[in-house]
Amino acid sequence: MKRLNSFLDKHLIALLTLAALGLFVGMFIFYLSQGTTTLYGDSRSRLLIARRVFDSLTPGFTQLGAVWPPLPQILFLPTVWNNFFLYSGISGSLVSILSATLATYFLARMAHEISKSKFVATVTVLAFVLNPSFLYISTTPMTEPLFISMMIISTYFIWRWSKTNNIVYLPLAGIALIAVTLTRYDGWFLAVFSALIIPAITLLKRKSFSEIEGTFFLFSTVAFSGIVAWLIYNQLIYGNMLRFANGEGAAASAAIQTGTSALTRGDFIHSTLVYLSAASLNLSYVSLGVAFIAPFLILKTKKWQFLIPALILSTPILFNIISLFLGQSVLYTPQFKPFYFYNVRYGLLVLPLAALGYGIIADSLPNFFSSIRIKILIMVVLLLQITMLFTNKPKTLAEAEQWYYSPKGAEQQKLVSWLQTNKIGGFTLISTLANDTLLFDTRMPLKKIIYEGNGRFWQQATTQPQSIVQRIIVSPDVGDKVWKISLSNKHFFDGYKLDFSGTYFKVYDLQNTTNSPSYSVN
Amino acid sequence: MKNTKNKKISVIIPTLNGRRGVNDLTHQLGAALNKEKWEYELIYVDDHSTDDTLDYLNSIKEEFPVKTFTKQGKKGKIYSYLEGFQHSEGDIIVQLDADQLYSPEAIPAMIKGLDNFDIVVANRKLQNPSLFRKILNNGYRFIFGQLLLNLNFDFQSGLKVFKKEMLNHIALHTTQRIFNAGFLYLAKKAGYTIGLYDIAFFETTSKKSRLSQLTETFGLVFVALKLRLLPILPINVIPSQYTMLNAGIHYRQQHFITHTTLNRRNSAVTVLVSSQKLFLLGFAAVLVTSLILYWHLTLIVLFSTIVVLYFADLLFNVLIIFRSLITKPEIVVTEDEVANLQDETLPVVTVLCPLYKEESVLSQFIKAMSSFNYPKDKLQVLLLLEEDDTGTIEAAKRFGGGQPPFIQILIVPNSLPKTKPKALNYGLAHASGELVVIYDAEDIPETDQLKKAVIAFNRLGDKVFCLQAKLNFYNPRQNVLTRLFTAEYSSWFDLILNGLYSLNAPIPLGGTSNFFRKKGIEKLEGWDAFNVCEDCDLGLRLYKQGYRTALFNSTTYEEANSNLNNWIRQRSHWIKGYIQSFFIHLRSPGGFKKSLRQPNFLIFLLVVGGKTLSVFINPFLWMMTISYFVFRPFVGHLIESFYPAPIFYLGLFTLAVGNFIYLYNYMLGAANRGHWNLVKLGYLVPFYWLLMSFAAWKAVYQLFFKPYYWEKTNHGLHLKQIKA
Repeated sequence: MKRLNSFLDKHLIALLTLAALGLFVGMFIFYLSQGTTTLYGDSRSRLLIARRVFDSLTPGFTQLGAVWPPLPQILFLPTVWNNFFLYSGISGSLVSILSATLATYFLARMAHEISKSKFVATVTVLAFVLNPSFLYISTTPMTEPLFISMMIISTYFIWRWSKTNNIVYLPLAGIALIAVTLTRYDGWFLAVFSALIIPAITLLKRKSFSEIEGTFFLFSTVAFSGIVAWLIYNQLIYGNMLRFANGEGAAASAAIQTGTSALTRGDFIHSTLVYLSAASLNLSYVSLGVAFIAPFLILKTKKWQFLIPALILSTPILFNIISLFLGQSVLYTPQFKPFYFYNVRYGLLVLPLAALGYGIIADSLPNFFSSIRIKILIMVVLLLQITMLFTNKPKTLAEAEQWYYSPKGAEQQKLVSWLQTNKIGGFTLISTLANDTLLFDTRMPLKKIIYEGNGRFWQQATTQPQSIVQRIIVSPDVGDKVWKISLSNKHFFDGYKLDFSGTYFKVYDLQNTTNSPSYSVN
Repeated sequence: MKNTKNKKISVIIPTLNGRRGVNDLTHQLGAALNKEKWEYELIYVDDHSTDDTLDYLNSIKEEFPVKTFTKQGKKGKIYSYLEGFQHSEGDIIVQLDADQLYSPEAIPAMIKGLDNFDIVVANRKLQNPSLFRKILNNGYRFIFGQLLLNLNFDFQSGLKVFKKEMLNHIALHTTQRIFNAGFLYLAKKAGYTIGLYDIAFFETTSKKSRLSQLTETFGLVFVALKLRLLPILPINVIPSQYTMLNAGIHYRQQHFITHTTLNRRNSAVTVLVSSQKLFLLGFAAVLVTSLILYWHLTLIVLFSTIVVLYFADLLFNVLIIFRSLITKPEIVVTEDEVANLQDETLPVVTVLCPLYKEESVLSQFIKAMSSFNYPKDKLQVLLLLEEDDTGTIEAAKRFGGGQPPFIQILIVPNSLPKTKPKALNYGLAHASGELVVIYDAEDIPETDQLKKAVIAFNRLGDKVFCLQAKLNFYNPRQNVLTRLFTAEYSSWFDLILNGLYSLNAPIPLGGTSNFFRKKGIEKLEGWDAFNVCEDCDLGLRLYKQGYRTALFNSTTYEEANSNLNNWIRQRSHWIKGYIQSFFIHLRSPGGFKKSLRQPNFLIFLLVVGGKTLSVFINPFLWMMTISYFVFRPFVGHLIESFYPAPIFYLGLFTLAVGNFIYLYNYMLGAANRGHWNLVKLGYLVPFYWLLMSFAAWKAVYQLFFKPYYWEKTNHGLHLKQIKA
């Protein structure tokens, strides 16, 4: 027993991490066999964005575009050039699995170093990795695992700095925050919050003003450099520093334009309820409760070491509520109007806080439970999570499937079949902002596609398509850019024949270039 | 005869069938030399005489100190001399033709001439010469004396006297025509002084025809031309194998006193050795040719190389900074350890402080030395004052009244080169301590620094015979320049050097607060008096010889340069020294231990070469970057065309992340040192880099035109400000 204890003392974190890695890989194999790893439309879009850096009429890093922060797509680059890695989604899944593993490692370290307890570290890790929504999304090329991982890493280093005063942890936390801010825009809020918490901690340590100022600059210079770089990139490439916010395809402007953000905009309570509902769908009510109880438990037990991580990890709640309140993002849950899933995965960002909350509770258990507490708590956590896993489909998976099997999704599959049957040799004009998933599913050669990122080719194709484009694909329901241009140019489709006409998609082929029959979806 | 007193004289005389002549010559020599009561030997090297010359000489060995040798090697007088030199045991060589044209009576006076000269030549004054001889002689003098060899005397003389040590330094030419002239020419070029002793000389009937004499003269012209084209190498002058005092180097007709026996190859006396010059010229030629023939491809290769090097430097920089911050490798001596140290166990420590025109900070320095908590009876502080620096000497003497007895004034004799390392070598020869430490005039070390160094040395093995204390400034807030300078120093000494130490890599020392075991520094032959960054050089040299430098937790505070011109002077001086050190250590790269785990030569290239090179290249790259963005419609495509896609992205990454990290190093350094208010000034560092680049180009100019010039940094500006 002593030998086992000694072994665990030395290797617990590694064992937990390895076990988590095994679990993530196992789940990946499972979901890959189910064909569900690329169900999310966003994941397919991101894979294609990365691919276009190599494979496009105009390849290069500018293909990363300005709609989404670029880091996930950059991380796909080492493998995405290969068709197998691209179309199986493994390029992105690898990043997610590694991110989830890193997240587990740092969460375990943090819990263990704060509590000095193997038990607390184990409980925290179990609560984290056994979440079904997280397990599913960790097998997909989505950004949440990377975001969560970098958030945990930055939190760990900020906590380490607060504990040791070693300044090396400030740039390390800053580097993780660069990754966070270049992964999701939510991360910007986290960076600001962290930049405020650093001087606050220094102040609480009763340091001089110059030290407060110095630590702030030391940390912020790194933490905000990702944001600054992104702003400079937008300015240099597009001449608009805020293009990601107000330009084409920007999520916030799209949400405002389409009115989808109106349900929560200006209503703080509704925004809070919607977000908490999303969080509960991903975490279960018990785990969400734990996430909320944990900070209060710190006040009660005075385990202050947990406070800083708990505060930082709670920022996604604040950010998402504020974002919904300001109408900058859209989130629907089945509990509220319009009663379906849309971006419910945002609720998963509370998971690290909930996992830490389990750890805090485990650490706070009175001593008289010591003999049985391990069994009880581990069983409770395991039962809760496993019950969710087997009784309900992970909500992230449900959300992904919802679109895939929606009427539009179904029509897209039909169009995919049609396009695969009716291949052409020439160029296809299509707006990728709205139709990346279609391109992914059809596996059309990207060098034969003309889209917004092709500069002069795009200019020529949208001004006089007949001179260059053999096929035009539009989706009028979302008002894609090609469709909008065609509306302002009555000769746009001159010479083209409508070969595929559906509720959501239309395909125009230049006449006399194809003998394929017309197709209509009713 | 002062310098030649108690020295043995070897007279070298080649013979060939000269039985009659050697009789008279030996007697004349004996008479002349016995008169002075000098110890001498007469070395006859016989070139296989067929008469009884050798028998005769052997027969008079009882009467005269004669040594006879039969020629072993090639025939000819030159080889006889060479063999004679080898057999000689004297300190002074008399090279004498046995043809009795030169009277031995002149020899004692010539030997005495060595008190003032390194060589004394019997300068034949032809009495009543024929017209042909006169024309020939004048032609000779003009061609060789004025045009070719600059030897305006009888350089073919058959009698000369010189110090034997010269034979170790001057390459002797075995060609009959050039033997004498070559020796004298090279000696003069090396800086040896030549004295002339006129002797009357009567024309003899030459056995050679006038035609052959003319032919010989023209042949000599070609040989002389060849001689002129040979590289002139510096020559070490070592007075004794037991001391480095007064040792020096002869080079470019100057005698430099360096007080070190350090070999010229390890010295900056020559910035580039021939092979390096050849390589650089070759490289430049290839570059220019390729630029002319394939300018675009050449620029692609050039920029790609630069990008890869910068990227490597970036990775290395990140590695050492993080290692420094995470592993905290410096030797930590606690206050308790210092408190528990018994005074009686402490070794004597010698402080070497070279001062030149430092009267303004002298009192501050003496106060700092007096503040050490080290027993003063075990402390020897040597103020190394230059003989011509009367201001500081006077000031030091004025302080003399109140000066503690452990502080001694040591006047460094006036000589070239006038550098700090020369003064240090001089000081080292007078140091009585077991440990030796260097401080600059404006230094204020922490009071327990000496004790900490003793503890650190005791803790470390013999392989570590150098300790470097950290350097920082006591006037960071004086102005923006001092603030940035402080951030830079904090980064360099606290982070980068510690990072290098953690990798067990070579460490370029800082110029002050270096502690040495005296035996160790003597073994290394002290400092290179020609290197204006002798500290950097020494750090590398000791590493190559298998020793290590360690860093320990004590700080010496210095004065940050607050004046821009003064700063540029100081910086160009340092950069010049780094360039010197780089080329010196490139001469023997094998000295760096090589392995995949310990690629020290690469580290040397990055730390000494890369950092220096980058300050030259940076302004051009910045200009190109700015042009790319500002004038993109005009030059964008051209600039992009120089960078193949992978290099372009690597370059972009290095540009953005690299510059950021180098800038951030300053911030980290300032924060690590507790200069929190300097952290935000990291954003101004790019302007500081521009100043560095300016200083770097000035350094290159000086390297070519004033290689040994020690650009003086003025100290005490902070005191002026305080007074103001």
